[in-house]
Formats: sequence, C-alpha cells, structure tokens
Amino acid sequence: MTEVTIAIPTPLRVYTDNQKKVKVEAEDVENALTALVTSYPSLKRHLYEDGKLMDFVNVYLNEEDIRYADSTKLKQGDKISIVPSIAGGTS
Amino acid sequence: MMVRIKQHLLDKIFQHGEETYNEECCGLLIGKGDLVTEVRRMRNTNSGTPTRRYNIDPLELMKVEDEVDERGDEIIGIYHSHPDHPAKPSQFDLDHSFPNLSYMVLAVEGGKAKEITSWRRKDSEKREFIQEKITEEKE
Repeated sequence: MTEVTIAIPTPLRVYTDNQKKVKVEAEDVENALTALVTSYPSLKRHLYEDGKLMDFVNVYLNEEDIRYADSTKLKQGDKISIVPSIAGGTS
Repeated sequence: MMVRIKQHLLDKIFQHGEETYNEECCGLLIGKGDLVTEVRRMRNTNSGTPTRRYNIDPLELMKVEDEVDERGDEIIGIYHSHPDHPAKPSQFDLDHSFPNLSYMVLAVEGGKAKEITSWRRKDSEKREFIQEKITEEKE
C-alpha cells in the first residue's frame, strides 16, 4: 500500500479532530478518500452526496485537478488536497 | 457568535468592493478563531455574470491555505460584495456555503460601500444563515 497525505481545508477540520493533514494508505485517489471518511465518518456528508463527490468539493493531486479521475494511481508521498469550491452572489 | 476585525481591515474590504463595482469582489478572512488579522483579495473568476456571482479559483485557494497553515493561521471566512443589493446572503450564497466559516457580505450602492454584515451557517446543515456580530478591534 502507498502512504499519502490528504490536506483538509479549514472549515472541515472540525470533522478530523482538527487535523490539517491526514495520512492514509491507498492505491488510488478514490480509495484514499474512502479511507479518510472511514476514519472520520462525520466528514462524509460534507464530501459526498448519494455516494458521489459533491459538486462543491474539488480534489487535487499535488497541483493537478483530479476531481473526475479518482482512479488515478498514487505514488508514495503524494499529497491529495480537498479544496472547497467557494462561490456565491446575489440571487 | 461574532467575528473580530480592525477598522482598517474593514476599510480594505470596502475599498475592494468599490473598486470592482459593478462587479462582485471576493476575498478571504485570515486569522485565528474569531479574530481576523488579514484580508486577502482574491480574483473573481466568474466570467459569465460577475455582476451578480463570484467564484474563487480552487488552486489559488489551496495555495493560500498552504501558506497560512505554514505560519499557524487559518482561513476563517470569506467576504464578497453585493453591487446594488442588500448586505444579506442570498439563497445562492447559502446553497454554496460551508460550515464553520464567517461569510461577510458588503452592500455597494452606486459604487459606494454602504453596509457590511457577517453570517455563519446555523449548523452543519445548509438550513439557514445566522447573522453574527462584527466587533471592531482597537487599532
């Protein structure tokens, strides 16, 4: 198994015991995120809806947007970042 | 619930909203706990309707988050302007909100900053925003 780090954005750290970074072991991005929400179940509903990553959640592997490539294989020491999609405006 | 901020930082938000009028401005509130110690302008990357929408580039957000993490600070909130609209979050703002962040909304009328308010999600569900007090810290 490959050990990688997942960076947690500030507003979601309350669901990871205030940890900024969580290490998990997984072969691909999808399994890494599954391992994360298995360790921190209260995080799951802020990332997933109906079993899919929510629209407002971006996932980067190092600096590459891999939101739609969650079978991407991981290398030792990779950093996955969960980045909120910040948007708004007048109705 | 409250957010603490110095007047000169609020002035920076006002100035940003006036400069980008009649488009929305957006930026980050950086600090610790409920204290804002830095206001960081971000680009509004919404190219379709920037007069009534804002988006922050996720990659830029990630880089700022890494930077403030390094020095022990946090992104504690987001600000944006409502050109010629009230300083109240819209349903769209609520739908796109995250828990545990302060959301400041600046009303800019006719190019002039009018009022600023701050809001937080009531709980982790996207049910409603609760207004929080903006407390001015001494300079």
